[in-house]
Order: sequence, then C-alpha cells, then structure tokens
Amino acid sequence: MNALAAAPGDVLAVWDGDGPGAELIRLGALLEGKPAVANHVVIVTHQDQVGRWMGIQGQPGGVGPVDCTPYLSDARTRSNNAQPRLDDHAQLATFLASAAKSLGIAYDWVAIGENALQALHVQDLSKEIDPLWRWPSDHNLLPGHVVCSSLAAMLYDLPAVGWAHPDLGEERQCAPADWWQWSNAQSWG
Amino acid sequence: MAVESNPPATTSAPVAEGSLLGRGVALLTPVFAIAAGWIAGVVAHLVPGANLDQTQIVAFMIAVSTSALTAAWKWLQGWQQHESLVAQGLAPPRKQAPTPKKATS
Repeated sequence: MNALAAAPGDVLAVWDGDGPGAELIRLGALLEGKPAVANHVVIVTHQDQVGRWMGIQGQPGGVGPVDCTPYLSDARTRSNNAQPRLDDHAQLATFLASAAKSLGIAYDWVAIGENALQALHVQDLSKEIDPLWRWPSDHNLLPGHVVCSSLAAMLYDLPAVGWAHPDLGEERQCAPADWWQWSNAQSWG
Repeated sequence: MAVESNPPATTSAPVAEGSLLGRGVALLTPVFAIAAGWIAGVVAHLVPGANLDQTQIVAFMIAVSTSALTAAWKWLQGWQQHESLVAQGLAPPRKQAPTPKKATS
C-alpha cells in the first residue's frame, strides 16, 4: 500500500466518514467556499511498538489518542509532512509535550457555534459569544476547550513552537477545511 | 470511527475542486425551499376542483418545502462525493482551485 509519509508533528486533514455530523462540517466548509473534503484533523505524535503511526485528536469526548494508519492510506488525506518546521530550540519536544498535556481537554462547543455563525456570515454574533469561553491570552497556556483543527493550530501557535499554520491569529476558528487547503496548496512555501 | 476502504494515498500533484457551484446551491437552498412552498400555495389555489382549506394548503406548502430541502441535501451529499473523487484523482474538477495566498509567518 502506498501510504503517505509521516513524522511527529504532522497534521492530517482527513475525510472521516459519511455520517450527518461529518456532512454538516463539510457543508459548513461549502458555505464558506472552502473544499468540502476534510471533516476531521489528527496530529501525528509517534510510532507505537508495532510501527503504527499514532496521534491525538480533538473529539466530543475530549482530546484522545488515535491510530493514524487508515488516514495515511486514504487518498483524500492531505498532510503537511513536507512543511519545514524549525527544531533548533527543541520546538518538536515542546510540541509533543504540549500534545501529551492536551489529552483530555474538553470539546469546544462554543467554537462550533462560532464556526456555524461564521459559515452563515453572522460574524458579529460570532464575536459576541466568544467571551463566553474565551481562550487564555497568556503565553504558553493551553486552552480549556478545543476542536480537532483548533487543537492543531493552537499547538503550532504556541510561542515556544511557532510553526506556520492556517488561520494565523484566529486559531480557535480554524476548521478541517483550512488544514486541508493548507496542505493541498502547500501554503507554507 | 472506522474508515472505509479507499484508493491508496499518493504524493502526486494535489488537485481540488475550485467550482463555486456547491457553495451557490448551499447558500440558495433556503431560497429554493421558500420558493417551492410559495409556488405550492399558488398552485393549490389555482388547481380547479382541489377545494383545499387553509390548513390543507399550509400542510401542502410544508410538504413541498421539505421535499425541496431534501432534494437540496441529497444534491449537496452528491457534491461532497464529487469533491471526494476529485481529491482522490478519480474525477476531474469542474474548475481547478486557485492557489491560495502563502502564509506570512
């Protein structure tokens, strides 16, 4: 099988099924004029003892581990494996430690609401509900709520990591379609 | 969640659907639904011998609007499958996606 190359720190934007939830996420991407392919994002962290690439993902039950193998062999997956990521100040170690510390972070339902309002072009209302569960503004603090794609954007955006990523400055609103577009167009170049 | 069997991933040149047809349909779906309901009401009034009371006309309008919504949802599901095939390189895009702006940091 011709699987995608993988490395710790990669972000995979993936098609994760045909359920109503997945279709609604892709419909939201359509409404914003983005590619309606990815509805989920996983972050590659390590290989397990039998060589499978493992990672973490934001999900309604809280951030948890995930087996990346099926996604790496799916032609719809887009990976930022080729993105240059500086590691001269132990950024990767910080990234992976932060990823480990992210396990269990609750799902960001407010961000889902904000994303829905943005997709419907009701930006003002989206800004109004943001203070309800605003992300911490202090450096290197992890937020209390994330979705799959904002988890990846948040980890890339940590000051001690500082890797390029989509939705710079609006990490909380980062959607799977943004990561898919980012990797498909290799926007880091 | 299990992932169904799909063609293997490749590292060939990435392609994506650039047509805004899907976005147009998604944005216009509420218009379609309301228009369908309105047309149903007009038709129910005009059809000779129908003799529908107000409640029946409203029920007919809701049924037609729901049908329009269902058709639009089905079309949008099909569009997502089309974008999936394009992403896999199994179907040509209606319009090649433009290259987005590069990152600034």
